[in-house]
Parts: sequence; C-alpha cells; structure tokens
Amino acid sequence: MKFKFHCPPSLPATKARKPLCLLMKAWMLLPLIFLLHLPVYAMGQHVTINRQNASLESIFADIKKQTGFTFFYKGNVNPAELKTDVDIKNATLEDALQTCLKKFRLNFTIVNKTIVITATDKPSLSEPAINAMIQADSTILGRIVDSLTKELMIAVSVYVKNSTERALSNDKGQFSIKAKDGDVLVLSSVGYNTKEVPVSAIRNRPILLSPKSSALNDVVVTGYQVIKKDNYTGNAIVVKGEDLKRLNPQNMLKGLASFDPSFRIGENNLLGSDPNAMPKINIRGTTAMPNGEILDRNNLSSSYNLPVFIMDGFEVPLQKVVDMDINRIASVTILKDAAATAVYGSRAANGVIVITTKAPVPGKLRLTYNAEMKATAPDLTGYSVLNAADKLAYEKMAGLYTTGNSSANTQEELDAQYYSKYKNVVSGVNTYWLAQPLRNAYSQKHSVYVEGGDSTFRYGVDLRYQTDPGVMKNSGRDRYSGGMSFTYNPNRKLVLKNDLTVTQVNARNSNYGSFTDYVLMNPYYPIYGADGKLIREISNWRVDTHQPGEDQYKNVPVLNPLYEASLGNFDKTAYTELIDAFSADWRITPALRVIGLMSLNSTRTTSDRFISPFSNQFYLDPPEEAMNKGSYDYAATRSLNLDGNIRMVYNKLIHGDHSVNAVLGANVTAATTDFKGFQARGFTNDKFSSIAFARTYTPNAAPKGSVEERRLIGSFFSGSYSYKNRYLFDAAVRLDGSSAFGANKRFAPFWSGGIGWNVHNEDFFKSTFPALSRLKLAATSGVTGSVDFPPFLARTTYAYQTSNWYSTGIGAVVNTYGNDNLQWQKTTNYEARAEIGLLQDRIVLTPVYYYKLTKGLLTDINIAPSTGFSTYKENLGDMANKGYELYLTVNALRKEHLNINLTGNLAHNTNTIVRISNALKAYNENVNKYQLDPDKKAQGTPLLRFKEGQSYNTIYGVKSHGIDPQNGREIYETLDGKLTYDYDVQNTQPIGDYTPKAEGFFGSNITWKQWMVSFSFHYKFGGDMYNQTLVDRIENADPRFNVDSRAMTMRWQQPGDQALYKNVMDLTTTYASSRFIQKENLLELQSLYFSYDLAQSVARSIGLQSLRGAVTMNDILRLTSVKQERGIDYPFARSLTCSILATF
Amino acid sequence: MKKLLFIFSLGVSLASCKKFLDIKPESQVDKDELFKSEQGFKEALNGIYTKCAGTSLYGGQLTYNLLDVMAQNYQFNDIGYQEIANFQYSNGTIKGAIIEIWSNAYSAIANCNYLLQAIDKDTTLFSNGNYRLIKGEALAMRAYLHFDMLRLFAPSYVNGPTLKGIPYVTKVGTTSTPFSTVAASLDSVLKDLTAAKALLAADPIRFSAYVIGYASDPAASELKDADLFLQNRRHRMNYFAVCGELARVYLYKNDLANALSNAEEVILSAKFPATKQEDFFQTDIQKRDRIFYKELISCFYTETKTIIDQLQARFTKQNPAFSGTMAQVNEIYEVGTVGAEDWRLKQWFLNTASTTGGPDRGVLQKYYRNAAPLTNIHPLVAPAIRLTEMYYIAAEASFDKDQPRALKYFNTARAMRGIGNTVSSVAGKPDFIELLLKEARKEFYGESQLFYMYKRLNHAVTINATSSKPASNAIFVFPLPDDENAYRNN
Repeated sequence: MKFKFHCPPSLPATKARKPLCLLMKAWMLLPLIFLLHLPVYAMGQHVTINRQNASLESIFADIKKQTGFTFFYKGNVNPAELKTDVDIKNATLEDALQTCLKKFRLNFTIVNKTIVITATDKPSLSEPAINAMIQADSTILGRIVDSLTKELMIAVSVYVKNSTERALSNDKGQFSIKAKDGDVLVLSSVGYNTKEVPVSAIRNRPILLSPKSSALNDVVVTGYQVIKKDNYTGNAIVVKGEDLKRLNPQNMLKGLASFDPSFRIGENNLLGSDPNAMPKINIRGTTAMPNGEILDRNNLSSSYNLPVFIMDGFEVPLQKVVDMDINRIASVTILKDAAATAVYGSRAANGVIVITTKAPVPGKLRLTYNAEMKATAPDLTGYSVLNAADKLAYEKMAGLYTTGNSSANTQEELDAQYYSKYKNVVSGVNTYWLAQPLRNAYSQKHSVYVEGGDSTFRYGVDLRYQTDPGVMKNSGRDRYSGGMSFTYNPNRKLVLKNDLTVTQVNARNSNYGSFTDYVLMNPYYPIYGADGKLIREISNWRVDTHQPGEDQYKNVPVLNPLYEASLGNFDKTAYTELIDAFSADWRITPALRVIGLMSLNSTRTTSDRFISPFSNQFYLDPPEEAMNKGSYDYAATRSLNLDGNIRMVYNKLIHGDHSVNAVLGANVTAATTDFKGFQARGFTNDKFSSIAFARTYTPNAAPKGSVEERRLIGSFFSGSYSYKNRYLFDAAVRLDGSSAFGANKRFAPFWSGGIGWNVHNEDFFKSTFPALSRLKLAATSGVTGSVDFPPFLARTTYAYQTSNWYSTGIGAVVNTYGNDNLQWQKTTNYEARAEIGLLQDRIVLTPVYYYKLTKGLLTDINIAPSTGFSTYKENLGDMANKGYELYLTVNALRKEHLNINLTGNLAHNTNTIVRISNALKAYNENVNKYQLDPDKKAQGTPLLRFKEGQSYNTIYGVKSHGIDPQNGREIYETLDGKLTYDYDVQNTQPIGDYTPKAEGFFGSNITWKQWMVSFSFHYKFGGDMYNQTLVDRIENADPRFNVDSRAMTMRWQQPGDQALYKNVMDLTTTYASSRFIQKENLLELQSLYFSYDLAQSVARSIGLQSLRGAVTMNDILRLTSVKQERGIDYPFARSLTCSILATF
Repeated sequence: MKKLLFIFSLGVSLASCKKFLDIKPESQVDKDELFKSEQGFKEALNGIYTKCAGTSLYGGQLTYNLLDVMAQNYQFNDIGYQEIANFQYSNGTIKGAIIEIWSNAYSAIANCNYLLQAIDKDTTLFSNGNYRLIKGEALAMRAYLHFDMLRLFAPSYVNGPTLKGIPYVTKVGTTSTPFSTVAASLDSVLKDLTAAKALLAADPIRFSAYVIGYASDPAASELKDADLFLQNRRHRMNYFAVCGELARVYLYKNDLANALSNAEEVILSAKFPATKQEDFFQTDIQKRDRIFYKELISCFYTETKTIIDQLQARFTKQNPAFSGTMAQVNEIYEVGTVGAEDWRLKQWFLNTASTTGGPDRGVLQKYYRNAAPLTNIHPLVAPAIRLTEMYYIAAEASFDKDQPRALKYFNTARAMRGIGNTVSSVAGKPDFIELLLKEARKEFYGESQLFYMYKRLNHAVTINATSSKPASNAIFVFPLPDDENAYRNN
C-alpha cells in the first residue's frame, strides 16, 4: 500500500519556493540529458569579462560572443538565476569558466565547440527533488531525517553559525536557508543532538540528526512548559513512550517504574495480577496517614498517596492511565522535587506524572498498525500445598481423629471419618484444586494509527481493540478506543489543536470467587460425585464451638467452590469515557506565546453483580428467607471533569547570554461524580439473571447515592533564567484555591526555588577536570501541597434519616463537625543533585539527595464527647521522608552496527513519623483490641500502628525468641525484656521495617544491526518482610483445610525438636510476632525484550515503510529470600507478548 | 509587562473565585443550606428526636437497659448483668454503654445548638407560630437531655448542690464547655425549660381541638392535622411535657412549690385521659393498649426494626435477656397485700416456664408488638413522661403542706391501675415516700425512671423485701467516660 500526495508542496518560506520548483522540473528532464556525458579538452581560447552581479547566462553570452563556443546545460542548471561578479582579463577559456563556476557547484566539459555545463554531483534517483544544492543567490536547500528511524523531521531549527539567518524544516523535512560556501549550519530539534554541518558537506545526501539517548533527553515537559533540561534545576525523569512499551507493552506504569526507583508500585498481594485491580503508586515515600478504620497494609486504597497524572495539560484519573493505549504515548515525565512540581501547587506533594501523547506527523498519509498477542500463565511458585495422602497424615498428626481435642465426636465417629477419607486417598482422589479456577490466557491487541496532512492541517486517527483476559477463568478487561486529533495552523502565529478520544472498557471479575477458596480445599475431596455431577456440599465437619448450650456443636459444611462457578453469577463493570481537549497556541512574538487549553472528560460507569439464588452464599439462610435468595447489585456512576488553563509563555535568549523562560498562567478545574446504586433480591432461577426477575429490593435497605463535587482554581508563575548556560535559576509560585479547604482557608500559596551550575560550560572545566565531560550541580527547595480528603470534609453537613422516619416527618442529623480552618497538607522539599558525565557522556551518573517534611497531615483529633463530637478533622501531624537516588547510564559500546547501553538505578527512602495526633495514639489502643478479637481474624496480621519516631513501614508485633525445644511453645519477650510463654498484646512493639536498604532496577539495551535485545531486572534488599503465609497457612491454619506443606514437616513434634513452628498439636491462635519476620532480598527479571526491524529496503520492496517484530516477556524470573504465598485472592502471572509494528 | 500584570490579577481575583469554590454538597445537606427554609428547621428538629429515639438514648439505653437493671427488676444468670445490677461500673458493658449514652446525648445537644444558633437569624422564614414551636422544643430538648446527663453523671442535688455537675453546652465548637456545679446545671436546665414553656404557650396541644386518643378512635385528633409536623404532639416536647419536665426538675431541686404547680398544671388540664380497663384488657391483641398510651404526656417514637428486634430479644422472645422470676414480680406488685388485682401485674407479665431450669419467669409484655400483618392500637414508643408521674410528684410535693391532697393524688394514681385499696393516713413523710417508691417501681417497670427517684431521694435501692443496696454516690453517680477526661481542652 502506498499513498501519494498530489497537492503541491507548500513551504514555510516563500523565498525558497521558486528554486525548489525549478529543481523539480529540472529533475524531470534529467533522464534525457543524462546520456550526454563525454569527456573532452578545451581549446586555447582567451576571454575577458568584467561584470558585477551578472547572471551566468549573460556571462555565458559574453563568452559565446568572444569564443564562438555554444553552451549546453545538463542537470539542474539554471544560469539565468545564478549571479556572480566576474573580472577576467585575457584568461584561457578554461580558466575563465573555472572562475565563473567555482562559486557554484557546476562542472564544465568542452566537446568540440560546445561547452557542457553539468551539476557537480548526480542527483539521487531514489528521492525526488530534495537534494541539497547550491543556488544562484546562495540559498541552501536540504533535507533532514532521523538517523534511527529514517523518518523525515519537521520543524527542525536551522541557522547559520555567526549569522542571523534562520529557517525551519517543513513538513517534508526540507529547509532552505541563505548561506555562503564556507558557512556552517547548525541544526537543532527537541530531543535530538544538535548538529553542525559545513555548507560544503551538504551534498545530495540527507542530513541525519540523531536522537539523544533517553537519559540525556534534552527537554522537560512540565505540562505547562517545555524547558531545556540543561537549563533546568528541577528533577524530572523523562521516558519515551517507545522505551516504556519495550519494558512492558501491557502496563505502562510497570514500565515506568524501571526508569525511576522512587516511583514505586506496591505489590498487591491480595489481588496479584488481576487485570481489574488498580495499582498503588507512591513516589518518594508516604506523605499521608490513613484515617479512622483499622488497617491491614493490604487494604489501603489505590488513591492513597497517589501522584497526580497530567495528560497533555490536564489532569486525568489513574484509571485513564491504566486503560490508555500505550502506543499513543509520546513521552512520560516524572516530576519529583519542588522546583519541578510547584506549579501544580496543592496537588503536587505526591509528585506529578506528565504524559504527552503523540501528535500527528505531517506528510503523506501514513498508517501504522500494531498487533500484539499475549500469553499469560499463572505463577504459583509461592504455593506449596499438601497432596491427598500427606494432608490426611497431617490431619491425623494434628489430632483431628482423637477425641482428646474435641468432644464433638466419639472415637468411633472419628475413625469412620478418617477411614472414609482414607478410602478416597487410596482410591486415587488427589484433586489439584489450585488449577481448577486458573487458565492460561491469550489476549490480543490491534491498534491502527493513521496520520498525515500538511503544515497547515495535520490529522491523526487511532483505533484500538485490546482484550486482556486474566488467569482466573472468566476474568478480564477489554478495551476499545478510538480517537481523532487535528492540528490546524491558519497562519504561522496560531496553532489550534483538538483531540477527541472515546474509550470503552468492559471489565469482569471471575465467577470462580476468591483463589484462596481453592487453596484451602483438601486434595482428597473429589470435585464430581459418582454420578458425574458437581458435588455441592463436599464434606461436613462437626465442630465444638465451646459456646454454652445448644450452640456448642455446629455442623460446618464444606461447600464446593466450583459449584459456585457453575452458576450464573457475574460481576462486571463497564465504562465509557469521552475526552475532548482543545487548545490554541498564539505566538504573539517569536518569544511570547499565549496558550489556552480546555478539556472535558465525561465518564459513565455501570457495574452489575448477580449472585445466583443457588449460591453457596445463601446455603445457610433460614427457610423463611427462601424468597429473598439471589441478589443483583446495580450501580451507576457519572463523572464529569472540566479543566481549563491559560498561560503566557515567554522564551528568549537575550544577547546570547541570558536565557529566559517564563510562564504565567491560571487554571480552573471542576469535577463532579454522581453515584447511584441499589440492590435487588429474590431471584427464582439461576438463568433469569435480569434484574427484572427480582422479587423485591433488599428488605430494610434504601438505595444509595452520593454526589461529590470538587473545584480548584489556581494561578501560577514559573520562571527560569540562565546566564551563559552556566548559572541557572528557577522559581515558581502558585496560589491555589480549593473547594475542599475550609471556608476560612480557601487559598493556599506554594512556591519553589532552584539554583544550578553547569560547571562543564565553564572555561576552566576542561583543563581542571579532563576526565569529565559534564558536571551539573543543582539544588532546589519549595513547598507543595496535597488535598487527600473528601471534598465536603470541611463542611458541617446534615444527613437525612431516610430509612428511619420520625412520626412527625423525616429528620436530618448533623454528620460531622465541619472544620472551617481545614487546609492542605504542606510538604517542604529540599533536594540536591549532581549530573556527572564521563568520556563524552558515555557514562552519566546522577546522584540525588532529598528531604521532604510534610506538615499538617490531615488526621482525626479526639475531643471530649461533651462537645457533641468524638473526633474532628484537623491538620496535625508531621511526617518526614528522606532518601537518595542514583541513576547510571553507560553507553558501553558504540559501533556502527553494535550499540550497548547499560542503565541502572537505586533508591532508598526513609520515612519517619515526626508527630501524630492524640486520635492516632488512641487508635493504637483500638488496634490492640482489634488484634485480639477472634471475629476480626487479624490476630496473626501485623496491623498498622503509629508511633512518633517510627516509620510508616514499621512492622508491629511481639518480640519472639522462637519455639522452646522443650515443649514446642513460643517464647515472647515483654517490653521490659523478660521472657514469657504468654502472649500479651500490650507487649507489641516495632519488630521490623519493610523499608529496603536499597531498591532499584538495572538493565541493558543492545542493538546489533536491526536486532535489539533489552532486559530489566528489579532488585531489592535489606528490608524486612512479615511472612504472612507462615502464620496463616502453617500455624493458624485450620487443619480441616489444606495447609502449606511446611506445616507438616517443620512444626515441633517432640521435646528436643529445634523447630521453627510450634507444636503441631497446638491449635491455639498464633499472634503476630517477630518469629515471622524475614529479611527480604529480591531479584526479579521484570522484562526481557527482543525485536527485529526489517531492513528498510526490504520493507519498501513489500510496500511498507517499516516493519518491526518484537517479543516481550514479563515477570519471568523471581528469586526471593521469603517463600510465601503470593496473590491470595488472585494469583500472579507471567506473560509473553509478541508484537508486530508496521508502517505503511 | 502591564498585560502580564493584568492577566495575573485576573487570575487571582479572589472575590469571584471564593464563590466558585463554595460548593454545596448535593447528596448531603450543607448546614447553611438546611437552615434556609422552615422545612429545614423542621427536619433538623425531627432529626433531634430521631437521634433521641435511637438505641443509644431513649430508644434503648436510657429506657430499657442499664437503669432498669439497676432498679433490681430482673433476675440474671449472666454474670455480666449481675455486675450491672450490683453497680459495678468497671464492667465492660457498662463502660461501653456509658460512652454511648454520654456521647450520643451530647451529640443530640449539638444538634439542638446548631438549630438554636441558626433560628434567630431570620424569623420571617416561619409561618403560623412555627418559630416559637421549633425554638421552644429545641430548648426543651436541650434541657431534657442535660437534665438526664446530670441525673446520671453528677451527684444528686440533695447530696451536694455545689459538687461538680455537667458541662451545660449551649454552643457548638471543638472547645469543651467547663463543668458547672449541680445547682448551676439545674439552673441552666430550668432557664431553658422556662423559656421553652413561654415559647410553647400556643402549642396546639393546649387547644380543645386537640383530642388525645388512639389513631383508630374517630374522636382523637392526634393524626388529623394536614401538616405531618403538627401531628403527634406527644411524640415531641409539647407544652405539657415541658411542664412535666419542670415539675421533675423542681422536685429534683427540692423546690416543692414549683414542682407542685407544674405537675398540677398538667393534671388539671385534663388533657390526658386515664386508660380505660377495656382498652388495657382488650382480648383482640390488635386493639390492646399495653402502655397506657393516652396517659403518656411525652414519649419517643421508636417504631423501627432495630428497636423492635432489640425489645423482642430483651423482653419477649423465648428466652428473653431480661426477665424477673414470677416470685420477684409478685413481690414487686404486692400480690399479698394491695396488688392482687393490679392491672399491670395481670397484663404486663406472661408467666413462662424457664427453658434453662429454675423458677417460672414473668416475661414483660409492655413492649410486645404484634407479628405483621397484625397492627397495634398504638405505635411503639419509649415513654418519657407519664401522667402517673405527675400524680406522684404532686403527691410528694404537697405532702408537707396538705396531706389529704397528697393522699388524694396518690390514691387516684393507684385507682388508675385497678388498686381498690385507698390510703387514708400515713405516719410521716418517710412512710409516704416508701409508698410512692413502691408504686413507682410498679409503674416504671421497664422504663428506668425508678433509678432517678432513688437517687433524688438518696434512698437505698431495694433489691427485695429483705435486702437493699445503701444509697451512696458510688452507686448513683456514673463515672465519666475516659475520653471525656482525656480529651478536654480547658
């Protein structure tokens, strides 16, 4: 497929249009005259000419008059246009011609009485009319292409060194500029190495510009500004979309983590690789406290500590980032320190991620097609459960079949139970339950991007279809999106852009329930009965509850989770999102621009959850509830976000030494979320799952609904100044107003400042540090904020008692005390950074140190209940984060065909809780109670606690001295250092810290000819890990269910056993203690990538511009010092993605 | 540069932005938004009653829980309840209940205060005297709640008027209000009640058109008003409820004259008809009055599933949490002397064989609800002030000056319960008090008022005919919740 453009090419400079057109016509004549090339010698004729600024044509006319020789032109020669001064006195014809033509790249040959003038070089046959040439009045024409992709480059700035001549390349990559023969052209473009080319070297070949390696990307996109990185003091990590895709074609955020170790994605041990789970992201440590409820670390929501995402200038939710098409990403910038983030003011404290999507490239209609096939397989390496025979043996060992432990059954009954199971075991029942809900999943993704246009109007259209089935059967997330964008420049001063994207995402959760249900099933249970049908109640245990009276013995049925999966249950969510962003960019003067942007994001989400009336969930319901079995939950959420900003950007180099970059602007955002939901009950039949079949609403329940609104308005100024590219200054201020703040604190000021020194630009540098090629020092400081609280927290609101009317009408009751003084959390940042380049920047090392102090953490304050409230929200509490980061890039080998890059990074963050409120202190007491409460099932979980001086990542439990070999009991240490056998929750103290000594990534990129290999390892060491599996699945495991295999082999059995785990017969609860803390050292190969680019000539021969095939493998290898079950409710997975990228 | 400045100042023109940032929540109601209309005030007032009728206050704890256990009305096997009956305030259940009562009462008071802070801002919002009605009721509720907190958490007036009372909270804020003395607290209560009485002077309940009765009674007008807000005056703080509460407070303060005048104002109004025998003994359980509904001067409407379930578990299910032995009940109702024909004994107690062994139980039927679809003749309510209490107060307050009048009130109250025996003379006031206490114990069974009476009189708590618990602050004064002591900020 080949598209051609038939419109005449338009050029930015009208000056250059004429010669170019001529050039094209001449090229059409070329085949005719090409044949006439014959070498001859000139005769002894003499000429005298003296003319000023005369055309060659007139000079040749003189020569013809004086010598009688006629002229013939071959190639792109237009003597009427080429002008020169000549002063020749009585020279030979040859000398005279040489003098006349030396300025122009023309040759001559004399054949008999004819002088043939030819262009010096043969023009290229492959590309029409775009070769550099010397024209009569020294207009240089050239063409610029990307050295790697061989794509034409537009808007490359070209200027003549030591002159004021400037030009830009047009949409065909061509430029024309006036220059003299000895001049040097300087070409520069964002993201590319600046190149200097002598005019003489611009032959007919295109000029190649090589892109900068990503570590040294030239500019930083802050979302409001594009700043030259060299002149910027802020800390920004810029990653190109292509590099992200290479690391993880499915999950942009996971790829991003490899580039910056301070950007962390918390491992979700509950939800594993569930395609519908939102990641928990955190940049440079925690800056907020969870409020109120008692928390296990696993339960923190993904919105907690979340950085703000800015896409093409406006804020988008995390969900958008998760679901966006990675092919559309041009670059992602992580902004971390105050200087980089202060323009985002009250949203910036957790960092800012700026995503730029690709803009359409002008030129011929170009079509890019990307196809991906992914295979995903569950990763069960953390699981090790007992087989049927071992399980039964373990049960016997644990005393389930001796009456000593329970009065529920007689010995005869127990024996009968044992032998019925034994019968199963010997008859070969050994069900591998873990495999039942799992599958290998295959997914595909197709995306097409069409772009084209000319310099006044460019357009792009993208379409995507992407499925993402998860490894749990029937779970998955399908995404469809379509987008349309255009850029219109009616004149050189104005650019109008519009982007429209529509996305549809359909997510469904597995109907197989939680994975842990399968992990717990005993292998000697058969799935199917003798009749070949699914068994619903597989077994029934008679349990002694130790309650007085008739409740003492209880029959606990074991229900088959696969029976549940055979029902018509479903749980799905779908949303449709429409985003439209419009921007206008008005270049008032070359230095001053005004940019306005408006965006609208409208999302409609619906969720439908049906639980069949036959579900195990209703199995134990009393008979009178029979008509209420089965439930259907429906919820719909509409959200609308409007974002507008206007900014004035000033960018100028004054007198060559003073570079000024300033932006002044304001933005307004308004977000509304409207949620409605209800539950219907009473279904008759599994198959009739439409909500229309429901008998009633949930008895005594009301429909739910909430409307949340949030508005933000801010104005900001950010400026940077550099002197001779050596001394750098950055400053930013922002004033933010938010509707979430209290009425008395509506506006918040934020600021930052930064200084930097490009030592390598100093004259003394090269002589003083010959080994170094680069040394930049920068320090920044500032205050940013975060508003991590619900929008109406600062207000006193009333709640209607809708489900509980009083006899004289409905009542409204005060919800909470609205604190009018509520304000933002303030984070003060300090950062120092150096960039050190060695060997012409082949090795670049960037050490960073930072300190962040967050003040005014929003926490509950306990107050005397006589005020009418037990708590209210106040800004009280301080938290500090400090740490260092180190980035290294090494261009180890750079040969013509072989290029090896190595990258590595490392980070360490220390979190300290400096001050907390009285409520959090009281909270710790409640946590103690919660820990002991058997109903909460958290006895063995190290719950979150807060103590001043400790870290947010501290693990709390009771110190343990291990298992007493004498009796198999655990020995605890009290707070005052005494040893005891008795667990007391009051002895809870810090027993470990999750904070690793260091964490980071390392990897490499190797290209050899058209091949490329890259890989990325994640490592972590020195932190503690509380191995929950040891508690839940070995000691606290109910022996009636399947357990971790270590339960059988590593528990204490007889005096003298040096065991890690307590007496196998001991069925008492094990509490969180330091016995389960293990050092966590981790190395995982997160991605491995291979690709092959078809040689361009081959690609062209089959009608393509380029073709790339690639294979990415993710999460393939994991070495860890902590063996525990990972992915409790949903297992983790490994994946392999094959992709093809073709451009037509 | 001028242009820059202009745009910048445009960006930060705070005045307009402030308005933009001031969003009123939609799914909850902003306080300022609520108090922009009369309807909002009505809803806020109803909210106070809804809160008071909840299980933490009069729909639970303060009507049929701890205090009733402390009145020694039941027999428990459960050690926890035995501890409560023994006034062991270290008991976990009591501690929890105390926190619940204290914090919810003050939360309801904060609701009153929010309303009272807003109501005077624009009185033109109100029509038909609703301003006086709403303000009067809110003041009365504030006083009512404070008075009960005082009666629970401070020593009685007779034991120490100058001792530490309670914080009398009249404004909303995060700064805690200092404790007043018992006397000062009582004065604040009286001040609010007096103001409420004046405001409620034109309460519809005072008009002859307002006729008290069962909903099914065509003559009754309690549900007749077109405005739901003006129905069921007795479910809210009406004029007579304020009089009744004033009588209670004055008596607590030992101001007999004022106690008498207020109690008599209620009695003499003849607004509250005595319950007819046929209604109380109605064989059709749908039409049976189990609570002397028409005699209630004020009560809280508690017709919610939660409370119905709680009451069933507590009193009427197979094995109720609270039940006295039949012997105990017979002793309380003086079967052997004057009480053989007592209506209450006959109708309120169902002689039930114990499922756990031991003697037969008297299972309380006062709060029995008919199983749906059968309805009851009156809604489920938690009695706040009864007509009989007015008789007891009037009797006690007039005894010193006018013994026959006192005995007349006493005998009338007894006659209303089917006790034919009349008392014609009493040896002295202590004997009369004993008579009153015995009567009150019968009347307030399952209603918790007896505890207050023992406390007010600093009288020993009768366990049975032979044993009692001596009066002391150790048993009569609830300890403050730990949070109150820990988090006070002045």
